[in-house]
Amino acid sequence: MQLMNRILYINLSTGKIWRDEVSAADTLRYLGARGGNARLFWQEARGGIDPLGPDNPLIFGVGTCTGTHAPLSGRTTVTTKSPATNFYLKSNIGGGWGAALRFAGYNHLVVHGASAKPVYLHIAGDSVEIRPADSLWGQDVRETTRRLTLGEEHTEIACIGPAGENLVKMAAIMGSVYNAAGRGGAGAVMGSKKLKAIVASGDQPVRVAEPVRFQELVGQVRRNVAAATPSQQKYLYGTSASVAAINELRALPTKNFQRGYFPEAARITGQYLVEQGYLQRRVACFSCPTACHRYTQVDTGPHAGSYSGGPEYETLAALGAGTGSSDIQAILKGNELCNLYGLDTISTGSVIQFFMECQQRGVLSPEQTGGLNLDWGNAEAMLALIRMIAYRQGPGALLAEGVRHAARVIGRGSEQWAIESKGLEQSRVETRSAKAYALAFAVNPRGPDHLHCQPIAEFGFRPAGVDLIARLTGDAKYANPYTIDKRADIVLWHEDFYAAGDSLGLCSFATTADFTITPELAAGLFSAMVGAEVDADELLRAGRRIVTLEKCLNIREGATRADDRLPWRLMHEESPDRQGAINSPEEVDHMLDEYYALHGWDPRTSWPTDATLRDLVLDDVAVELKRLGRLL
Amino acid sequence: MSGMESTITIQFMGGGFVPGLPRKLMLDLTEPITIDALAIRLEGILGIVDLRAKLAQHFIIVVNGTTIQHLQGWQTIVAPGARVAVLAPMGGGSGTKGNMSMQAK
Repeated sequence: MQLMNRILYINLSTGKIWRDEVSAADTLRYLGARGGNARLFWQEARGGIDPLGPDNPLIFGVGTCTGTHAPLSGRTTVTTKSPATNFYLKSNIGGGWGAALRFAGYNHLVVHGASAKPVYLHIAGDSVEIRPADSLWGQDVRETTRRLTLGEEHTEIACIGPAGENLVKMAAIMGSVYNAAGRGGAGAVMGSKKLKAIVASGDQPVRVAEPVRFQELVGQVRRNVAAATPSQQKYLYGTSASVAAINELRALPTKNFQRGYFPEAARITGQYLVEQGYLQRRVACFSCPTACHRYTQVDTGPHAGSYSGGPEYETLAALGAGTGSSDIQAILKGNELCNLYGLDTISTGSVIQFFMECQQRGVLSPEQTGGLNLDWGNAEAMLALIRMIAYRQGPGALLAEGVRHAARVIGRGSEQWAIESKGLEQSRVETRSAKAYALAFAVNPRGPDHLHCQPIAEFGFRPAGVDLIARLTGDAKYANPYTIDKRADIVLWHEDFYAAGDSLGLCSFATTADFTITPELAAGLFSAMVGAEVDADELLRAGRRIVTLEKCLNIREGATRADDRLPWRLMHEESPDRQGAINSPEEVDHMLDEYYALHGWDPRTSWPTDATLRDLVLDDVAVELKRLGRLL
Repeated sequence: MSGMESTITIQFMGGGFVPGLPRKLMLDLTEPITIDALAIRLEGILGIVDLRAKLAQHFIIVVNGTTIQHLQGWQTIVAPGARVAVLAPMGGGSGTKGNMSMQAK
């Protein structure tokens, strides 16, 4: 095997810097970024550590294909223990930072310890330095990036903003200015280490073991992307094109999931951003022909001068429909503020919606509101709260801890409209009318969101998706998001492939959303890359190993079946805009039973059995869980 | 029958795939019609050749909030007063069937 799979270790407490390599066996077992990170996290961390303490490692993993010209291969995984959930966290970021780390010669970066003073890492090939960052501390993401790129060529920056410095539980790590490893508070972990930024550059070649074969596969993927309507749609309007479609399906979470239809949705769509001239340009991650990312700008009105990357669908839904606002200029301003402060727009919008609903239901005292008018649709309150959350001011100090904590403090029944599970705010997906998504969200180790498994095929939108469902379940009739039947079969395959794709650095739009990269193509790319033959079955099996290890990381933290739930509202209230749409406890339990059975996990505890772990060559994991009394 | 009840609203969202599609169209309708027949009628109204085939290739069609795949497909009946949306999907595969193999187990 020819792949160089290098790890750079840095201990910020001691200043020690050292290097190691991933073994050939582990490269084949864990594939790369996400899988490799999970393995490293199992080895480098232990259960019960404080997510914001020096014992929590922060691990970056570059995709095995990242840094090559393989299409849609620029994704990087960030792994740590989440301060939002106290469980395992993997987050994923696009842009160009991962490729830069690869050009510096590294596949993984493991940051241990914590610095006493603000620092940043300067990685330029073999030159690795821990540099003071006192003058950067307090600066926003854009200014931090600007200063660190002055005089540097071909340099990419990953950094935190004020939210990360202030240990806000929904703080993101931002890369290439406007790309975010947003979910779960990895930015707060970076802030707890007093690590402001990581500068990466280098000129190390990324060697491909079988370049001719690799090039043929790249050509095939490019042809698939060019032929795929969804890929073209994402180029034209970005993910924000989904707003109109999802609203039309009565599944656009509105006013904190109280409704599934937003009458003013036409003014917060990707189409509207293009037609009204807010779109400035389309932007691609490293080596991506789709270019779904975009920059927008406001030229008129009270927010004139605002500009930023995005907004994505999730942002428009979280800051727009979710807060009852169609003030697109204010939403663009809110998106910019989140990006500058380094905040996850999903969780930020979610806590703001939660707070507005608290006001709607009369459970807040005047002191708790901070004097804000929290009426639905008040975009200025939304903007004020974003600032307050980033700096932990006024009610922002409470909301910065996340919606679960806020509901516990506010009480008075507010847990029923806290749209979270495991402590993570749910992304803006109406799982009550998408049952495979519901199951996927319930079992996601980091909490309920769409970036662990993307079973869009269940909708039956496209022939390729229907074909896939027929193969997975035995009948095309299961390409139906309204039934709970066969959802476990669908979710397992998507989990496996998503994990494998993440590990190769592939965008999920190419793998589980659009199928422009199939398991066969992904396996071919990996094989040609590393110079060892891995077929599609083996690739998916490696994905299963990764998913199972991630589950075990949560079990090490004490997770049980009781943690695999959905937000209370979604399990107990029907969507008013689609009759019968609910994720009832009975439905969720039924799907969980089938899911655990297919995995070979114990249905009572949700823990993998000894036989399952050993079958996946996770013997050492089995030994440790047995020692902890968490193996049956 | 009032004015609104005798028309159907057709919204075309997403695009670039079929030049000439309007953003929104109100169509008088005196009796129910299938989506299949509606597409053919739209071909004539909009002057777009092979519109039905293009819709099938690039779009999903939603009638009153539900995709036609989960109704009666192209034989789904559209009644006066209905709302039809023609959406470019954000995922689920390319526009043609069987253009790539799918590993599934």
